[in-house]
Parts: sequence; C-alpha cells; structure tokens
Amino acid sequence: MRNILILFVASCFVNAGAQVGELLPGQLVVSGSVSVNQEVNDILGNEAGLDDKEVNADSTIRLEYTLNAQGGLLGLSSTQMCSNNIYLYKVYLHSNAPNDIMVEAQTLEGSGTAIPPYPLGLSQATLYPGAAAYDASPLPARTLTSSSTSFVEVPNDSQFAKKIFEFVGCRTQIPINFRVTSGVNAPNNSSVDIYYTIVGSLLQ
Amino acid sequence: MVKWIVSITLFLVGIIMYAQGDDTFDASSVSGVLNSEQQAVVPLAINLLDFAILDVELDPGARVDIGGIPSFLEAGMAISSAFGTNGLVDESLYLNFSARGNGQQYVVRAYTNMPIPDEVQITVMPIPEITGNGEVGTAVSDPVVLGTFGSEEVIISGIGSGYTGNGYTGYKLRYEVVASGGVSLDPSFEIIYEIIVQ
Repeated sequence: MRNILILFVASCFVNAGAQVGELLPGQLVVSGSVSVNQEVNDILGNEAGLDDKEVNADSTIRLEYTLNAQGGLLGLSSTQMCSNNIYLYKVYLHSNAPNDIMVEAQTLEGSGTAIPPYPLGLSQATLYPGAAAYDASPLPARTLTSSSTSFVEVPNDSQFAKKIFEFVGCRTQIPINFRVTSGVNAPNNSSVDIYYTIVGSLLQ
Repeated sequence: MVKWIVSITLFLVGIIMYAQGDDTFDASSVSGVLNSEQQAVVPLAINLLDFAILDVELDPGARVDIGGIPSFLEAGMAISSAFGTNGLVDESLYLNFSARGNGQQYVVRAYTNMPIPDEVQITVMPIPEITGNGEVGTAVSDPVVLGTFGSEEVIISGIGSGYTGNGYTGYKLRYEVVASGGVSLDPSFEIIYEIIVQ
C-alpha cells in the first residue's frame, strides 16, 4: 500500500511537468522602431521652475507571437498550429533606462489581429476547426486585455518587468505606444533598450 | 527545533511569492529555451533639446508698486523723505527657471526697457529659496544697480541642468528703490529678465 502511495505522488509530479511541457514552441517577433524627438513646442508647454515633462514617442512597434509550423508527415502550418493550440500569453516590459528617464507604454484593449482570424462563417470554421471549437467554448475569448487604459510605467529593473497586456491565442500586429518623461539631467541623445518578455501558460 | 526552522522558511517563501504577483515578472534570467518564455529587445532612441525657460511669479501679472504719496508726508517736506534713508524695499516677486545644459552653462541677466532718471536708483538682489533640483547657479553677493540703459547685468551665473521650483520659490527678487527727488518712472517702465548661454 505504501509503495502504491509513493507511486501516486511521483505520478502527480510527472503530470505537472508534462503540463508545462505541453506548451508548443513559438516565435516572438517585435518589429518597427520607436523614438522620442523633443520639439520646441514640447518645451513651450512647460512651466518655468519645474522639471522637464513627458513627450509622446513616435512608435511603429508591432509585436506578434505565433506557434511554429510542424513538419513531418502531417505537416501543419503555423496558422493551423495556432488554431489547434490556444494558450494564454502575458507580455512584460522592462528597460535599462537611467533614472533621469522614465519610459511608459500602452496598448489599446483588443488591439492586434487574432491568428487564425475569428471564424465568421462555416467556411472559416471548416478551415480552422480548432479555433472555431475554442471560440464556442466558455474559455476566455481570443482577445487582448490591456493592463490599464492609460500609460503604464516600464521599470528599469529586470527583476520587476511590468505586465502591459495579455492575450489568448496567437496574435499579430499588436501596436505598442510609448511616452518618455526626461528629467533636465537626461542627456540630449541616448538609446534605451526595451525588453519584451512573453510568458505563456495553459488556460485553466 | 527542526519544526520551527521549517515553519519560518515556508513563511518567507510565501512573502516573496506574494510580493512578485501577477503584474510583475522576474525577466532577468529568461533563457528563451523554454517554450513558455521568450524575450526580444528593441532600442528606443531619445533625442532631447537643450533649453532654458524663465518666468517671474506671480505669473501672469508680476508687478511691483513702490513709492506713491505716503500718508505721513507733510506739506513742505521733500518728497524724497517718503523713501527714508535706505529706500523702499519689495520682496514680493520670485524668479523661476528650468534648464537642460548638457555641459553648457547659462546666466540670468536683468535690464530695463528705458533709461532710469538720475534721481532714482533701483537695485535688485536674487535671494535663493530653491525647492527644485540640480545646478541652479549662484546669485550675485551684492545688490546689482540697474539703470545704464542697454546694459544687461548678470544676477545669477553657473546654471547647468536644474530647476528652481515653481511659484513662490526659486530666487526671491529683493528690489530696493531710492529716489532723491520727485521723479516718477514712466508707467510702461519694465525690468526684463533673460536666461541665456553663458
């Protein structure tokens, strides 16, 4: 009896490990560029006596995450893999900005494009039966949820990267806007690295 | 004894897990090997301007009224007696500024928009009451006489990147006016302050 109990406990650990392992490999791609160019009009809006204030960045950043295509005899495309395997993804940001520069980021609720797209009719449901079945289930919708309706501070500490948004299922073309507040001690020209960390998990 | 150690260890682990929460994530050791975690890096280019801006509080409407006909003035006495021996003093206005220097320095200069009559002497003395931060410069140690028309007098120098604070803070402006005759300044008389590269 004791041996059986030990085997059962060991089996639980194996299952827990297998659940993490069930996440299929994918590809995080962050494309575009982002820059802050302070103009005279930005200065004119300042009040003399106060520190410099925020400037909106010009951002063409687009983030996407899709599952890898599967080779072999069955040969499934990335879109088909995304149709059949739907996970929850959380996106955290941090930077290496100096203390005189505060970076903030924002993504609009529901932004980006779900992959595969939402089935609108029978033909798409036929094309992507996995996604169609998921969309009909009571699980969280395949959409993007922003952490805030306004800008969220991006910490300059990698140990405390901040969640900016999360989404269910593969998704592309997610725009991210930035705002920078620079103190008067900030250098004229500098480059700050923004780190995008995506963490996937199984849906409960 | 062993039981206590185990209990304390579990408690500490509980605190660490609570502090991290769902909104933050330790991204310092993301390997990219796990299917559940990946990381990408994109630079953010920041181009900022050097600037220096200044105003005098109370803004708008910074104005000083000195002189007039005091109630104690006796008919037959010299009007200059209204000013007493040391003149009249006003400390109601404050100078505020913000600057990004990036190595270069700024000065604050004061000048008038018209000549001051010989019978009138106006001095200004900035007194630091800084609530801001950074390199906000050093004020002159003695009152500066204004009046030579067209002559800008430096009253604060060595300003780098810094800000004084806004409102009734920064540099208090101490004006002292001495008039030896019954001369008034033109109503459009102004003292102008500017912040420029040193």
